[in-house]
Amino acid sequence: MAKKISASVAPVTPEIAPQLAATVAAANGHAADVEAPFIEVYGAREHNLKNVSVQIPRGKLVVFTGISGSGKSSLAFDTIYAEGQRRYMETFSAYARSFMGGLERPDVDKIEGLSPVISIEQKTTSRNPRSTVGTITEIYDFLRLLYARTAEAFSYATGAKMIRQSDEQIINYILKHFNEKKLVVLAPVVKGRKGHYRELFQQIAKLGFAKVRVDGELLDLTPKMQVDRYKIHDIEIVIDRLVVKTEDRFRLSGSVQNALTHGKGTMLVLDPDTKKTQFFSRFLMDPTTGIAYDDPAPNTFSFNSPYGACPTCNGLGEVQQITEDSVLPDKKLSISRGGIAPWASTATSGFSSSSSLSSKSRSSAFLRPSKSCPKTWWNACSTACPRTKTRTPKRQTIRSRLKALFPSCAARWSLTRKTFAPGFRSTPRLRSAPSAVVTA
Amino acid sequence: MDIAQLSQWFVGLEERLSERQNVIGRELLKELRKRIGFLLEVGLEYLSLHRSVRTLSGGESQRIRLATQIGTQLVGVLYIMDEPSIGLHQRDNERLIKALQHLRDIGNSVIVVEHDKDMIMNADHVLDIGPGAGIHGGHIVAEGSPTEIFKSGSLTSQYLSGERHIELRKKKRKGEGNTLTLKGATGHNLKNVTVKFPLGKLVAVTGVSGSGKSSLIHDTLYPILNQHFFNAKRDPLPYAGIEGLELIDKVIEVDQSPIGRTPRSNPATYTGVFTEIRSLFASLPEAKIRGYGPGRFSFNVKGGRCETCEGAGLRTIEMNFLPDVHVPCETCKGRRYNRETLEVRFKGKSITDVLDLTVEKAVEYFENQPRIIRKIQVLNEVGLGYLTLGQQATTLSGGEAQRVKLATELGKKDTGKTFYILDEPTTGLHFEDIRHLSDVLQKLVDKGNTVLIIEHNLDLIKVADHVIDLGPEGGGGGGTVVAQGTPEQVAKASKGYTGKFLAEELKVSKYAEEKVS
Repeated sequence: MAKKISASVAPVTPEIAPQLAATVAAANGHAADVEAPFIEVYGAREHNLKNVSVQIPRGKLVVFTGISGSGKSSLAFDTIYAEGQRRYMETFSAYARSFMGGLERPDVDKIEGLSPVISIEQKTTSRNPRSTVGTITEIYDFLRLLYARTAEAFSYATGAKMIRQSDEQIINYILKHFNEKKLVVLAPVVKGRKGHYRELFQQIAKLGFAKVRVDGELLDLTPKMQVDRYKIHDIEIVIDRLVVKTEDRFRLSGSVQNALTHGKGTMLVLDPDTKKTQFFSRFLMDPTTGIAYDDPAPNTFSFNSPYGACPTCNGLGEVQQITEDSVLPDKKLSISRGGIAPWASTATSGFSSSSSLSSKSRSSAFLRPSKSCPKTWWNACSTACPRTKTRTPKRQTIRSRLKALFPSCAARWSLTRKTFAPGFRSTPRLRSAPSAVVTA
Repeated sequence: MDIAQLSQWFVGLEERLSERQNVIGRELLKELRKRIGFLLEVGLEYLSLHRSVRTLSGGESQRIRLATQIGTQLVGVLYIMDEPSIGLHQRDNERLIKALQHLRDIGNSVIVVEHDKDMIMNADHVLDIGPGAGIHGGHIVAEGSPTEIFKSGSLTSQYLSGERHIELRKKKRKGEGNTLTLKGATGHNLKNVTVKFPLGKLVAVTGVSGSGKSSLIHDTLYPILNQHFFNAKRDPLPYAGIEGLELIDKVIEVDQSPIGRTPRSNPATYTGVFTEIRSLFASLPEAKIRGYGPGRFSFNVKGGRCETCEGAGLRTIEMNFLPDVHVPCETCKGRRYNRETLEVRFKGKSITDVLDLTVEKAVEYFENQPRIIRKIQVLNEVGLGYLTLGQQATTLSGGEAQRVKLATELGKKDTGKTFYILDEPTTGLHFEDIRHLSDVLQKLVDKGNTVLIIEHNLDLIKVADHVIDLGPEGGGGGGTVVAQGTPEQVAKASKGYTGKFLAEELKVSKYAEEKVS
C-alpha cells in the first residue's frame, strides 16, 4: 500500500502569513523584517493640539474624525505629513533642497515608525487649461504613442488609406510590375498651378535635363520655353527613359532616387504605350489627391504641441473674439456716457484722450444712444478702415478713430492680454488636430 | 467617449490589429489597460479623457490622483488623504472604501481624515479628536476599532449609534407656491431638463457623481441669475427659458474657498465688524484728543501700525538652506501696532487685545455696542464662538470659512428674497457641525429666502423641504430628473439611487427619534 507522505507543515494562508513572517524573522534575529507595528507620536502641539501622544497602527486603514476645527488636519497633515516629508527631504542634498523650499519642523517632541509619506489632498492641482484627465493620468501620453507607432493614416479628403513607400519598395514594385517594359521616370515639380514658368524651364535645362512632360505631353526643352500663363499646369521632369530589367537594377535605382530628389519625395512613372501613370511617394500620401502628411510622431497627436494643436485656438478649444455685444454692452448708453465699453474706463490710456475728445466734439452722434446710431455707421466702424487724412491734426475727428474701433481693440488686446470692462466673449470650438481620422 | 466606453474599446483590441501592430503595441496596451482599470476602480467611469482638469470637482481630482497612486503599486508608504469621499454619492462609497483597502493590502499604511459614517465603520482603527473646536479641541477623545469607538460615548459615537441625530423637521414648509422655473437645459449631459425650484424653501439637488448637478446649477442656473442681477460676463450653458426671475432680487453663492489668502485677512475684517470696531476706537475721548481716525487702528495702513513688520506681527528671516523662520517682530512684540496706538483703550483693552478675543468673549465685551454685536452674534450662532477675531484667514478650515461667509450673510439686513446656492456645504463637517449648519440654513429660509444646496450627505438632504434627484447614472447615462418632491416622496421613488439611501436614512432617523422620545 503506497502511503502518501504529505508535508506536515500546514499550507501558508493569508491569515497566518504575517505571523509566520514574524516568527521567521524573530528566529533569524532580523528585527528589521518585522515592521515597527506603530507610528508613535509624542507631544504634538501644532495649532490647537494639546500635547497629544498617540500610537497609530501601521499597515491599516485608519480614520481620523472629529468636528471641524478639532485638530484632525493639524495632526494628520501639519504634524505627521510635515514630519514625514521633512525627513524624506533631508535625504536629498542641500542643493536639491534649496529648490524645494523646506518645510518647517512641526511642533512635536518625537515621531517614530514613520514611512515616506504621500499625501493626496483635495486642492486642485493645477488651473492649467491645458491639463485634462488624460494628461494627468498619463493615459494621453500612452495613447499618443500608440497612435504614432501603430496607427494607419487615412486621407481627410477622400477617406482612402494613405500609403508610404521607401526607395527599396518603389524599386521592387517597379521591377515586379513593369518588368521588360519601357518606362519613363518622372519627377513632378508643378501640380495644378498657374503660371508661365519660364524660369523653371531654364533651371531644369541648367540641371542637364532634356525633356519635360507638360500637361501629359512629352516635350523637348527649348530655350525661352514657356506655357500659357493663365492656365493650370502639371509639369514633370523626365529623369530617364529606360527598359526595366532586373539585371539593370542599378540604373533604375539611380533614376528613382534622382526622381525622388527632384520631386521632393514624390515621383511618377509613365508607360509610354498605354500612357498610364503610377504615383509613388516617400511620405504618407493619398494616391488620388496627393495630400501628404509628415511622419506621425507622438507630438502630432498632442494638442499641447505646435505639431498637433489646432492652429486657430492653439489647442485650447476656445477662442475669444470681439463681438458687437461685448464692445457695446448696453446699447441704451450713448458714447459720451461710456457706451463703448473699452473706452469707458479711464484707466485705459490711449483711449482716454478719445473720450475727452468726444466731449468736445460737436457731433451729435456721440450724444445719441448707441442703438439709435445707424447700423451702417457702426458697420463702417467695425471693419478695418485706415484713418482718413484730415487737413490738420486738430480737425481729426473721433469718426476716423472709431473706424478702426474693432481692429484696434483686438490689436490692443493681443498686445496687453488685458480684458476691458465687460470683456470679450469666448466661443467654444472643437479641439482637433489638423490631420485626418487615424484609426488603429 | 467616457472612460467606460474607452475600456470597452480596448477589449479584444488585439484581434482587430495586425501582427506588426500587436508587437509594437503590446507594452503600450498593457499600460493603458492598467491605468484605465484604476480609473474605473475609483468610480470615475463617467469622465472623459478630454475633460479639462479645471472643471473637475475637488473629490474627482483627488480620486484621479488616488487612481494614479494605486497604479504605482508602491509598498511601505504612508498615505494621508483628506476626505476622499467628497463629491461621492453614497452608492459609490463602497468602491472608494475598496480602493483604499486595496492600497492597504498591498502593504501600505493609510490615514484618512473623514466624516463619513461608512468610512468610519469600515476602518481598522479610528482616532476621534475633540471634544470641541479651536482651543476646546486638540485632545484624543477616543481611539480604537470602530466597535470600541461606538461604545466610547464621544460625540462622534453618539451620532454613529443614533443617540444623537439631526432631527427631522416636524412641520414641513408649505411655501407660498412661488417657483423659479428653468426650461430646456441642454448643456453637457443634460437632456432637455425642465425643473421648478420652489422659492422660500430649502431645496436639495442630489445625484451620483457626474449626473449633471454642477452642469445644471453652477453652469446654467447660477450664470443666468448672475447675469440677470449683476451683469456678470460668464455665459450659461444652453437653455430654453427661465421664469420667475422677478420673484427674487439677488443670487449669492457661498462656497468653502478661503475668506482671504493672506494673514492680513481675518474673520473680523471679512464680516466688516473690524471697521465698526475701528470707528468705535476712533470715537473714544483719548483718540479724539490725539486726533486719531479709524485708519489709525488698521494694521494695513501706515500710521498706527508697527512699521518694522508693517502690521504683520511677524518677521520672516530667510535662512538660506533651511526653511524660513518666523519670529515675532521685535519692535511691537507681535502686537502689530505701535505703542501710541495701543495706549488707546476701550474697557481696558487695546486694539490688539480686542483682536485676541474669542467671539464668545467679544459678545460680552461689546454688549452695549449694537452695531458690533449684531455682526459678532451671528458668528457665535453658527458655532464659531471659539474663533478669535484676529485669527488669520489662512488658518481657517474650509468649513469654518464657509460658516463665516454664511454668518456675514445672516448679519446683513436682508430683503428676504435672496437665492442662495451652496455646493456641498457639508464638506469637512462633522455630524455636529452639520447640525449647526442645518440650523443656520433653516434660519435663512425662515426669513423668506431660498436656499439651494447640492448635496450627497443624507443628514442634510433629509431635512430639506424639496429634493430634486438627477441621474440615474453619471455621464451619458445621466442628465435627467429622476425624482423630485419632499424627502419622503423621493424616498419612495423607483428610479435613481438617492431614493433608496434616503429611505434607509429616514427609517433610521424615525427609529432614533422614537427611541429618544
